[in-house]
Amino acid sequence: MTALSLPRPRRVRPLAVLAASVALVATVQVAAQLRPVAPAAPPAEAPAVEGPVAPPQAPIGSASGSLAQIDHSIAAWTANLEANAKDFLSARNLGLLYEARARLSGDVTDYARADEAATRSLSIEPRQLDVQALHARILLATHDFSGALVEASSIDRTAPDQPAVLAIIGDASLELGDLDAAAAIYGRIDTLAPSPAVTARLARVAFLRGDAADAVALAASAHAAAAADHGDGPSISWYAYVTGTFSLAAGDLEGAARWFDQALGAWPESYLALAGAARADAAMGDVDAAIAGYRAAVAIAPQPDALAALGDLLALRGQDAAAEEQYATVLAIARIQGEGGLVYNRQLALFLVDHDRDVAEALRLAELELDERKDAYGYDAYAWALLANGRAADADAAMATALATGARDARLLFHAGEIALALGDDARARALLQESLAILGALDPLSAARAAETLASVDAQRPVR
Amino acid sequence: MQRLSLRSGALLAAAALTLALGGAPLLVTGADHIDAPALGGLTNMAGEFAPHSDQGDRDINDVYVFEGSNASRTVLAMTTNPAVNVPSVNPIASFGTKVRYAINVDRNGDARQDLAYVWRFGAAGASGAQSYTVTRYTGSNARTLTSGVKIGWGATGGSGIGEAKGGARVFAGVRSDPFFFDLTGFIGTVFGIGTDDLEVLDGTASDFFSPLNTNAVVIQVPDDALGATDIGVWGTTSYWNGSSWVAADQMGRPAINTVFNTSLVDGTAGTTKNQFNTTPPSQQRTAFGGKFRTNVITTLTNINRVLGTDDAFGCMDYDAATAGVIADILLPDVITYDVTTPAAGPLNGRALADDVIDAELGLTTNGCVTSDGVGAHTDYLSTFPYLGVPH
Repeated sequence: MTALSLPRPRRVRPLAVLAASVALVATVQVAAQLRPVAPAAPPAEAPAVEGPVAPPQAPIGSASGSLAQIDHSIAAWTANLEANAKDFLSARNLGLLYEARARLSGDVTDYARADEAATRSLSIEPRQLDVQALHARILLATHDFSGALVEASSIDRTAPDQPAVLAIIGDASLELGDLDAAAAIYGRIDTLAPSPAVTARLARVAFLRGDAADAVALAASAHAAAAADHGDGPSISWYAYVTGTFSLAAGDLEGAARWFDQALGAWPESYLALAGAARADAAMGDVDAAIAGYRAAVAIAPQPDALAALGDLLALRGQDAAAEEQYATVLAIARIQGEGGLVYNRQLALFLVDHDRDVAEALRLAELELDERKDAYGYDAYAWALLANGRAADADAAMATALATGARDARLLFHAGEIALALGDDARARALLQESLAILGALDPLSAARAAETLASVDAQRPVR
Repeated sequence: MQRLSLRSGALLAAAALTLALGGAPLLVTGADHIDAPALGGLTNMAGEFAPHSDQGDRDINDVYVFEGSNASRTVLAMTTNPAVNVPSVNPIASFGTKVRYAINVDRNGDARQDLAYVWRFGAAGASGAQSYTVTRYTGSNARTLTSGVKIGWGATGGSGIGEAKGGARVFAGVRSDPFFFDLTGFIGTVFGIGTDDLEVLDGTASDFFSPLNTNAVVIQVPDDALGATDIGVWGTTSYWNGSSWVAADQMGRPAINTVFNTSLVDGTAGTTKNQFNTTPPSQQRTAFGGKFRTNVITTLTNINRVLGTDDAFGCMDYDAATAGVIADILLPDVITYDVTTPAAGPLNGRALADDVIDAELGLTTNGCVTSDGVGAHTDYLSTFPYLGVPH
């Protein structure tokens, strides 16, 4: 892989920022970079930030189908609810359908509609355990992990050992940083009701514990099982996509590219798979294909990670104005999510640091995130922001915590390397940066270029800063 | 207005929770829509929380038998898969590819089928359409479903109408669900679930099924092909488990299982419902120590007292003898029909527009509650396949 030569970020005059943000607001298509959908699998975190994988929240207990089919059914149940305000059954169905819709559209407002419908149904008939579970899943998807944990635990006390409920508890625990609890719960579901959905979760645990190869194997077996079950296209596509992202993290660039292709074959409109394939293309040096792929992805769902990656590649090509448009959209999304949203904090913190923006704000966001979610990636974002604010020693402590879980993640290693360098430990910096770069393609183009650049300067005994 | 469920509240608390947990994502419990735990109860096959029925493709909604637009023709129809209205991971296709959809006919009054029409479906193509065949079985073959004759074939999607021999017409596909019922009013009043009530209590009624679709199989045959004037009709589904065919769902008249095999009268109602679905009609009066019959009688002799309609409206339950007579009409659960007449349910066929809910409410409550306030849809067709165009 050729290291991409990328200049240090320049202070580009923000062009058309206002226009971009207004346009974005107008479309109402605010993409939720939370759990980018898995039609049959609940939305996943963007691999770029949370490490390669999206919480494999596969379908346990939720509806699916094509967007057109879903919209058609939504119309029918909406008609019922309009005719009869006490129709909690139709409200429940709307909740399920909007949840399914959110997974296909990547649109956070679909989750808002799902929440409204579920809440309405429960207000009429609170004893519906399945609707309570639906509501907990929505909290999970919109990053209220503590809330999801509380609600799912309550259901579990009433109706113990329901795989769908245990899955929510497990996922929430994992996002809050309790990997051991999550692993135990996933193991329990696997005993009660094995399914690809559980296997994909076990894959994520394997990765977070440092065994990327095992993660790939588990994810691949989940995909095979899903395909054998004759699931729908988007569902099978999601498992292929997940396997692809683990492959990237494990350093198998070609394998990843094949998996993303398979994901696209199963569901050509998968913005996740499009972005994944673009990522692999960029790592393999095919910048044109990568740009085209990211453009296709953001056209379907403007996710911050894909937008930022697209911008970075455009900047690489010297197309600064075009790059800035993408960056402006990222910031606009963050502004729209607003104070109550909180779903983009990590992504935004990293973006601000990586693109030399408001690093004080980056630190604030990272602290906010870490307050609730003390997992490896929370500590990583915090550490990176601390370093950008000149607090290298604090950054080192935070990064040590991040690495303690065992996850062998390229971004963590890259960040750790930069921190080591800032503290004057060249030998350690070199080792970490080399380890990071050894995982081909697991770093986004910007980070990969920086890591290579830093490593080169360390080798040459020339200070970078 | 007094809520009928006041007295039955405590009794029904358990039933309510079970119902809420056991319902399909839709709890589209019209007629036989998902009336048994095994077909979408608390947990489905994967042990999942069953927000939807795992085997929706095997769930029977309704069975109809009525006179065709030509008086010398009879129409047999069966609607299936309530989950059509909530696109889901399961079932994978609208009609199960490992499912047999059978409309059974008894020609000699012994409640055993002497004639059966069975639909089988292929995998969905790119457009989602499924090819289908219709096979006719007669005599004892109708009970074993061996050595049949293919009499019809076609594909779902498009018109869904296929080709058929012997003057028959066949259809399979999605149609507007012909069923009409104030579902939320009913479960509110009877089970205390939700806050809605039947029109008799709150003055308003809404038809839950008004905008919904359903899968349907329809066959129209010359009366001569049926081989008898007085017939009994019921629908069954079975699925291939890898090594044999297993009975899944069964239905004759609407809501028999739903209304009579409840926890109001049966402590193991869930089990009983599953058993009823797989007990052939000819055995329904006597199987399991006659408990189905006992449940019907217990319901008919106690329902007004349990619901409180005796106090509220002075309604009286049946005496045991009359209840027994009615039980022997309702069991075996087949739709009796004189093919030389237009249908006029509930004891002579079932036409799409027949208000079976009103009839059953009146029958069950001994005339106390006679209507749910909701009437027939207006989209039925006067020609084959008679069920309305899908929404």
